[in-house]
Amino acid sequence: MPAGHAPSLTPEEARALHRQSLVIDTQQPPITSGIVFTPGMRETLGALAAQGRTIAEVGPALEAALVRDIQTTEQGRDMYLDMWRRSGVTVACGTYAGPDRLATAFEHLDPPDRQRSGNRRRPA
Amino acid sequence: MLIVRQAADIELAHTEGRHGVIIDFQNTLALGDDLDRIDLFYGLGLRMVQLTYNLHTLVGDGCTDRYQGGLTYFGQEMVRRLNAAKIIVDVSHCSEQIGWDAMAISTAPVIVSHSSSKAVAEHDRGKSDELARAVAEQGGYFGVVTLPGFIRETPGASLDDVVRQISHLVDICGIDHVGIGTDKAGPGPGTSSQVEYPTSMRPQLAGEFNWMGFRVEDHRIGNEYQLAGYESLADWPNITVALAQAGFTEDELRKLLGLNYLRVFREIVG
Repeated sequence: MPAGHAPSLTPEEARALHRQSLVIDTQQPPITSGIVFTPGMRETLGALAAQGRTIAEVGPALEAALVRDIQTTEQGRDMYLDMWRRSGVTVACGTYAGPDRLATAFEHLDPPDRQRSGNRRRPA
Repeated sequence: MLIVRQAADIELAHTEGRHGVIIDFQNTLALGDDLDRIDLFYGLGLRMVQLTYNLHTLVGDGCTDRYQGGLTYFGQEMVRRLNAAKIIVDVSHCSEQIGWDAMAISTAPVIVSHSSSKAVAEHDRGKSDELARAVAEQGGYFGVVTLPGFIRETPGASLDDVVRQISHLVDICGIDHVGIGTDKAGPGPGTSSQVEYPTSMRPQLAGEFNWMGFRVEDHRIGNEYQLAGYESLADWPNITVALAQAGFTEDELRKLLGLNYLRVFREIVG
């Protein structure tokens, strides 16, 4: 540890170095689901919260709302990319499967009803 | 935006000013008991797999479960198959023993994508100095997490505590084996996305088992644990500023920020 060492850079110099460096965040689970809160996500959350859904249940729906906003609205896309730019992070490790019930760990179930029933998605 | 499938993609993202995502799993539940699914998900872009999350699975024990055993026989085979698929083996949320077992089995460096030092702040999510040193000695990587209750034993965490963790791990592992895995998108006690959940919204159904495996009474995840200086992902540069204020040189900063992980990623994934 550089204990007692003087700062190597001023804050402005450090920010400049950050901007030009390769920056890898080796764990950033919400990188495609929660680094911003778009209008579509807010609307979706409001509707599901009114239904009494839990935080654990609404995750997939919020992810889908964010993707929809990024793909179809300039505001959503700008919000998302702007957060990336401001972070100065070049690459992030995003988590696409984590702790869950065994029954739902392999299937990504969008509608909260499927999660409560424990039913797996049936092929179309 | 691009999905990172090889080290060249990381370099491409940097040179072209793009952003990349490395797809990871934080446990192997999605693989179930079918190791052939490893190849399926590799084809979809998976490049890093944590052997367990906090609780016990077919692979072995997580770091907050009742018992802290190591890899099962199935877990050992999981490591071999991940090696063969050139997928990074990560032991962040795993028991300490899984870390040792994985390094004994793996033919590639094993990493810790986002943990902390138990020597700085005791926590189930932390790793011992002995394990951290061993991760470095076998060519791996230790990413420092920034969750406030993990990196400091009392409320009031700031980026100085992040620096303290990084500095200690650099002392243990060397400057070439440490980086940053924030696991954080906001200031609160957990990963803290920007989503504004109503205060009336329950975390999960009443009576439902908590598969996350964290316990408020043991893991310092109450709302009193906040990280000052980090309101959102946009505050990431504050970490670099804090490290520079602590005296890390430009070359050291570049290693911590990304070059160390790039090196390990290239060696394992290609």
